Amino acid sequence: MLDVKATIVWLLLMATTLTIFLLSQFGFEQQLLVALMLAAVWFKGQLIIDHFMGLRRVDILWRLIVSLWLFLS
Amino acid sequence: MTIATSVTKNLETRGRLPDDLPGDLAVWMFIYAELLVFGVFFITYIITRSNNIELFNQYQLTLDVRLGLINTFVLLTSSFFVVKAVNATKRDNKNKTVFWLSASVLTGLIFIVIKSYEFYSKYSEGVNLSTNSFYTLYLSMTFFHYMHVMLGLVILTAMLLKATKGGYS
Repeated sequence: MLDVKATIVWLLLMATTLTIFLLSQFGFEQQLLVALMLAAVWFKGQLIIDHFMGLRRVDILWRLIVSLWLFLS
Repeated sequence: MTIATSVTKNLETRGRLPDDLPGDLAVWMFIYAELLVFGVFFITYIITRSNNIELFNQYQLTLDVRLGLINTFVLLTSSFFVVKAVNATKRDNKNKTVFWLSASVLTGLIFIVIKSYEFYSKYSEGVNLSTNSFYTLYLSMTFFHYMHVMLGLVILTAMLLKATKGGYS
């Protein structure tokens, strides 16, 4: 993965983490917050699987095992 | 023949081990085994929490979420540095590989220091595995993760030593 792309992915991961943290600290509506948190976990997990673990262009089986784990967890 | 080499041979002969899979099969078997253990922990947590919702809600508030936020940043950054090290290796740049691997080890150590401080604080407050079901699971899961990071640091340090000798190209 190119350095620029890796940096963008890293910034996205950091920004998503910070956004969810801030929403949780400022009395955001609980049910909506949980839904957003789950979506953020999925988004971050898939970014890590695809870009940091390098599974984006690998045989779908190897990617699916980790993605399914993320979904079930 | 070990199980890993047997599986590798089997997969290779059937043409199912993709060439572009980073690392070797043994690493992926290890990663998937760890996912399985974490998965069991998560399921146990969900089931136990569903039977003790008030207790879990009460004791979750005793955790310092700021430390959790900092440690999440630290681990994401440490992983990012490993990606940078891999990129440097692909460009055959030994100095940058060593630099980014060192940075990754350093950030991993920051996680260990922060987590150790949290464990020490909890221990000082009298919290332990027997305190209640929330802390049984919280301490078990976070300690397993702590050991996972420790092992990662050992592997990264070994890679760093190899990289300093020009072992990657």
